[in-house]
Amino acid sequence: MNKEKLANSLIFSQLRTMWLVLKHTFTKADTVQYPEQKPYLAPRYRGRIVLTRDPSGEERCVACNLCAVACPVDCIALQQVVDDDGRKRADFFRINFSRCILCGFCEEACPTYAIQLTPDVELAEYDRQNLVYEKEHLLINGPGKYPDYSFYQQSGIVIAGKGKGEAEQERPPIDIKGLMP
Amino acid sequence: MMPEMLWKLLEITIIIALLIPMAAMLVWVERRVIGIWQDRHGPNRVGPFGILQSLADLLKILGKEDWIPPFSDRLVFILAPIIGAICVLMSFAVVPFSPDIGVSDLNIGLLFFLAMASLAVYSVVLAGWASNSKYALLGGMRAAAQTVSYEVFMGLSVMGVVLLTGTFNLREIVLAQSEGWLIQSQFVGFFIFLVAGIAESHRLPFDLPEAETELTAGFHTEYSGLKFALFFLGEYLGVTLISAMSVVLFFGGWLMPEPLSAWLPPLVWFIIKIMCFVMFFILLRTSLPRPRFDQLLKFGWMVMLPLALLNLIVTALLRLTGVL
Amino acid sequence: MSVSNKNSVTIFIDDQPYQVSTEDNLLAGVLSQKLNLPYFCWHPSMGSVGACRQCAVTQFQDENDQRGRLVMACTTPVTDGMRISIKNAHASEFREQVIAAMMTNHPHDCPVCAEGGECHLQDMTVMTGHSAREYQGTKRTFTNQYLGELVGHEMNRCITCYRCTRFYNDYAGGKDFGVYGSKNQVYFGRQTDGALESEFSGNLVEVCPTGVFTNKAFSAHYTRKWDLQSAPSVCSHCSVGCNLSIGERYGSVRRVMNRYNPELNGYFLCDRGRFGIGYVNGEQRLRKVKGISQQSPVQLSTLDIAKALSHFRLKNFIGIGSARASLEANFYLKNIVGNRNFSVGYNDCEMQAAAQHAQLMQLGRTPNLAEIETSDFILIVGEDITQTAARMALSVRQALRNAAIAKASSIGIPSWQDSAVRTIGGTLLSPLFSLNSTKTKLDDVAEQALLMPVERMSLCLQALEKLLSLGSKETVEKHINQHFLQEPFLQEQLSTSEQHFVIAVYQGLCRANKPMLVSGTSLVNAELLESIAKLMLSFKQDNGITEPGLIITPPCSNSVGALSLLDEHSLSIEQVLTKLSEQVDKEKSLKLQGVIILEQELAKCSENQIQQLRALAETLIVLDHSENRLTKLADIVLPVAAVSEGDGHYVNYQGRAQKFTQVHPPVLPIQESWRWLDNIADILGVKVSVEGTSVEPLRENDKLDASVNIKVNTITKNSSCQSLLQLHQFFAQHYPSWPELIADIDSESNDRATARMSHRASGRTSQMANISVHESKTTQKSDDDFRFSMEGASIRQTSNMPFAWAPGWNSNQAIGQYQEHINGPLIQHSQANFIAISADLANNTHWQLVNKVASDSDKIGYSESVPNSLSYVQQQSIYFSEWQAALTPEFKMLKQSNQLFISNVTAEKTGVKSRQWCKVVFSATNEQKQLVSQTVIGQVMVLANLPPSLVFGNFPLCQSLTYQLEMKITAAEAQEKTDHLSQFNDDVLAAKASKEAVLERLKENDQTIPIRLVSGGLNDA
Repeated sequence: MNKEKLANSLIFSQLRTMWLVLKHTFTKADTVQYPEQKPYLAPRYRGRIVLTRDPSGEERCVACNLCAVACPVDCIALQQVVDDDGRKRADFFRINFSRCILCGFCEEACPTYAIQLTPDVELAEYDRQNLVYEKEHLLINGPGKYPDYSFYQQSGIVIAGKGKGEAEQERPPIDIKGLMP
Repeated sequence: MMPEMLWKLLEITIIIALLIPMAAMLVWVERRVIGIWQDRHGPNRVGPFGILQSLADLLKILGKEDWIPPFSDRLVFILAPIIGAICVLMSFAVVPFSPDIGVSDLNIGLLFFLAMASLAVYSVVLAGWASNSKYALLGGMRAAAQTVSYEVFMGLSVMGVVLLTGTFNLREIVLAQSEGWLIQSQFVGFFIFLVAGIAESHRLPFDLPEAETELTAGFHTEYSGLKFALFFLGEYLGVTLISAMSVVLFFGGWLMPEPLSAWLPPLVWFIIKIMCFVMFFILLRTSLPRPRFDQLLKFGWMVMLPLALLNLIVTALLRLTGVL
Repeated sequence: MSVSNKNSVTIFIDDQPYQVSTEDNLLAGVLSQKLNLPYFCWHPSMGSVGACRQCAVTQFQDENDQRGRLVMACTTPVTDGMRISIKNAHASEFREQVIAAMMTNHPHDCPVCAEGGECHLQDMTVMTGHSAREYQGTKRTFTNQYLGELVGHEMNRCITCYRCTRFYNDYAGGKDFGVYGSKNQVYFGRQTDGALESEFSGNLVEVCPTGVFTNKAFSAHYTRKWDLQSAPSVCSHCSVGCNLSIGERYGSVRRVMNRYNPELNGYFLCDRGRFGIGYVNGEQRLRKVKGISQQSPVQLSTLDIAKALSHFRLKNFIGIGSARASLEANFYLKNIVGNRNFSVGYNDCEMQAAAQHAQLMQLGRTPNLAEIETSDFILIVGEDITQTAARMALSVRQALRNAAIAKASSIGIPSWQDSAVRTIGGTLLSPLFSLNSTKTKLDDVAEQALLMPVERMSLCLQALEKLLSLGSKETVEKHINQHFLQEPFLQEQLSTSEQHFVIAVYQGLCRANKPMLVSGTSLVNAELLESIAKLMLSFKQDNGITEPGLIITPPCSNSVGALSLLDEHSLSIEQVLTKLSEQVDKEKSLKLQGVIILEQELAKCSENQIQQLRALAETLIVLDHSENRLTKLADIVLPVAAVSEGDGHYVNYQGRAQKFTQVHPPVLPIQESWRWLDNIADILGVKVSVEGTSVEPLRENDKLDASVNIKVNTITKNSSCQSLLQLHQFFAQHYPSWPELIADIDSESNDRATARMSHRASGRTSQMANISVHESKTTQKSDDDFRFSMEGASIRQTSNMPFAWAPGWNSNQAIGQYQEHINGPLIQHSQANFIAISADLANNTHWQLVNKVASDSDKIGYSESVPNSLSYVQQQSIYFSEWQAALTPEFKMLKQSNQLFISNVTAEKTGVKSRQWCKVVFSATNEQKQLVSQTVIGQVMVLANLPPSLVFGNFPLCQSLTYQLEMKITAAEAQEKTDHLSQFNDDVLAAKASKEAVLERLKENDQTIPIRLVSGGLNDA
């Protein structure tokens, strides 16, 4: 029987384990003493969810429902409306943070960079009802992680201030009654 | 006569009044020590070093709804935790804490301890049965099988001590060790007693009756509130008891070698020794994995029982031949 | 999968043998095997044109051929032993590049596109594996058009598959839509902005593989397909009974999509069916009980109803059912009030017509729409089916193509080669003959279409009948050749054009293999139906002419169901009024306590009759879903569920009973009318004939049927019915006449209910979180085949699919994955359930037609005696002819200003020109009654071929004006015209405002989703 096997045999293995554990009496604890001591959270940490605005200050969310369908706990509910300026917005946008698992799927699904997760993890309430966030609680006054992106400048639909063919990478609309080839 | 009785009653009261808070403190100690060993802090928020954690836990557990499952056997369900706590507390009656502290100098003290330890299993079995749920019943059945198996060689392991000291009286056993602790000659017996003791008190690695990964919480799955607290109390008192018995039987009780004994009073030495054992129990809990139930029983009957018998026979032979 | 088809051959797809039918193209064959092959321009019912190049596969010469060649599956016929490969790298790369090319100009719109999530283009892009856009250049753009209130237009998204124009122009015969431009600038739209004129424009939404055409009403209050809670339903707007899938979200109905039924609607719906669901959310919806005091502040309970009605215990009522209420509700009402007190709200004329209709239903099985499409000769008499049974008109249009298909097949072109068939066919159409009182859209494709008053239609049919009764084809041909136009019966009564028409119809019938005769009851003329019956009998003679399939289209979704409940004791509205007035001095115990009106607006009744009804009825109990004249007058109004909110059966024109299923539970106190009637029956009891009942009679009515001598007892029910199934069981137990409906059998054998939601439905833990963060249980229902949740059996296992979806197929075209073979029946199909229509109604002499010879001669002819006498016929309209659909605000916005069509004779007489604005005064000439007159301002249109005695227009005349009319036309003054137009504009603006108001209310509703634990009556909120 070689040494290794002996060490791994019944009783030695147990004793060795106990010794190893006992040695930890003198190692430093890894625990961060929150809240006195704040841990470092990366800017892309997946914490509280916000809705951002595009560079022109308009809501980015077009209420496309992709975040809702991506959500594994179904904690996002919204309803789309088309406003007079041609933009689509969420009539209501509700996240039930008491269900949210902060997985970030909604952020990944969002085609307009509207929904973003922030490094704010302090989401605790004495009343669960207070964890239901409506649109006014979610909206922030900035573009978040993507300062330059504006969905409507990529999209082909008309909104107030941007007609057909005026988006990025678009040619002016075709005159269908023109005879030129 | 009467003052003597009153004195005894006072003594009992003091012992119980110290034991129960100690068991509660033990919960905190265990959590903190495990925390340290696992590179954490453990409960450190309530009071200095978190010392009031147990008090907070107690207050919380008192505030819990005392729920008795409608499907349970009501009477038995209530009785089970009480039996458990009483049996352990009764065992302390024969423990000699110091030369003049100790509730009773029973001449069959050791047997009384064994009897009470066996009775304690009723608490677990009845709790499992009365809960009328699968997890609890499985836990109870495991407890019964485990206790019955390990009881046998627990008794056999201490027979070596009895052989050498010639008495069942625990105080006399302690006094008999004034020349040298029995651990020297009865190391195998001590090892067997310790293993059996862990199994008896359902501590890790032998906590199969309440193995949370398999049985949720085993026999006390359905318990909550004060009744759950009684089980908890019983378990930690059990740990203390086994530690105390190990000290009494193999480590000379309150006795210490010559220079040391003068430094501290005997009771303090006794408690220090007990605490060492408790620490050892906690170390076991943090480091060792739980065996499978069949492995546990197999280990008991196939290894420990023959070992205990062998120990007894060898001790007897050595005693006869006068070596010991 | 094996196709039990004689024409099936073995082909090898990727070296696997498959049995594929040779009747369809390779693409259909591949899809029939449930293999995935992308396509755009091909459509299962429109055939192939090979425009999109998307369905490329590699075809191999033989098993040794390694290279193969690319073929387009949709234009390749299936041949025995052919070897193709879908997975072959060349083909799949080709398909991906086709998508990549389409994507160069496709806008970045999916998040804001209403098609997203059910987009065929998305599906096909994923199917080809195209994932990254490599094109760096700019995109071409188009401006959009306004296409009306129903269909939205977003031309940038177009991938030029040509499906829209192939459907709109080629399939549905639309004229105001087309393709403009060339090369990469092809534009699909109208010449100018404006509402699409076709009755089938809504199908563009489903036909378009991407989001160029979208459902505007749905987009205004949008939700993704995956979030919709859907249930299989049946259209409540006409008698065709198209199968629908109605979608709901947050407690309000969102949209209607087609539900495939190969025998009826196939892949298409009409606009009334698709957009007419708007009434469910409309402003006129009744949401509160009137006339019943409520004890608890929270909700109404059955106890409240019991208290309110307790003094009517076991008393008698008159019940007026309707042709738009479910079969169950009508049947229940009939048995609560007893058959002698039951009416379906028909007036005398309608009862006569119904009696004739019931007799016609005895003649044989009525063809379904799929059978119409195979017909080669169609005669339409007195029904504008494009407006009243629009989906049928679409089938008729397909039938007309059969001549071209036959011609093409004679030179070896299969029917699925769409453009080839159309090229060879040219303008060739199967014969369609039309006799109508108003201009119809089918006139353009008809071989002959005559306009005439309804009496003359009967004459034409009589003439045709006489021709048929002459004997064999040869005899008649000889007869026609010899005595052409000299035959007395032809000469005396028919004009030349009518004689030509009759002879052409006869000759057409002689050539036809599968003729069809389509008529309807919208003209409410029993004589016409009687002459149809006689005509049909003449086919029974052995004269070598195939008997045509007979189709009678009544106006409402459950007209035939109502017809099946009429018997010889059933009352007309006039009789109801008489009976009520007779009751006044009867002894108390026998007295009628009032009238229960079930989902009936009594549109045909004059204001006078309504007031009379109100005055005579002691208590007026009205059950309806929307406000009307009667709900305003009623003592007790009970709000009932619309089609999307309840369960029940409708019986279509064929007698086919079809179940519509609750899409979502309504907000209490709204509940299905049969549940209300159940609550009422708990107090009033139900009438049961003594035989065949085990229930102990409580009180014997002293009514004894004189002829049959069956005692009628009033019994109280033992318990109320919690579900439709229990109701059916109750009916079956007590009434032998109750038809056994297939749904009852199904729900017993079906152990797992199907989910109403898709498995990806979102927002479950959040949609009600603003009300309470604690999630409520999903609504339960005791007997349903469907669950109000995303959990349940796969839609694969049911014949009633709540929605169509298959892995990789998110659009409605997923249905191909559930068909036995393309265009075939569903894999899980259930047998259609036809109910028997008894002709009992005709036993009542009151409803029999008496041949009044003298009066006949008065009626017919050009009424030379009264020179100005004429008949006015109101044009049917797909949007407004049906009361429920007309409540939809989008339809109201499509209203047209008044138009009156007159003959050129009349025009000359009055000196008006076509398109001139005129003031028209209609007045009754009947001498017995006082003169009633109505003035209408409208545009006059002159039609050359209109008989002088016939005028028609698009406005209703008041009920007290009979057909004996006098008309005075004068040019309208400018002020009158302006007034009329401003009134018209106000109406349109009001409709727009109402649409806005509905949207506002729906938005509010989204935030207050009603929580119901059980959908089973008043007491389970």
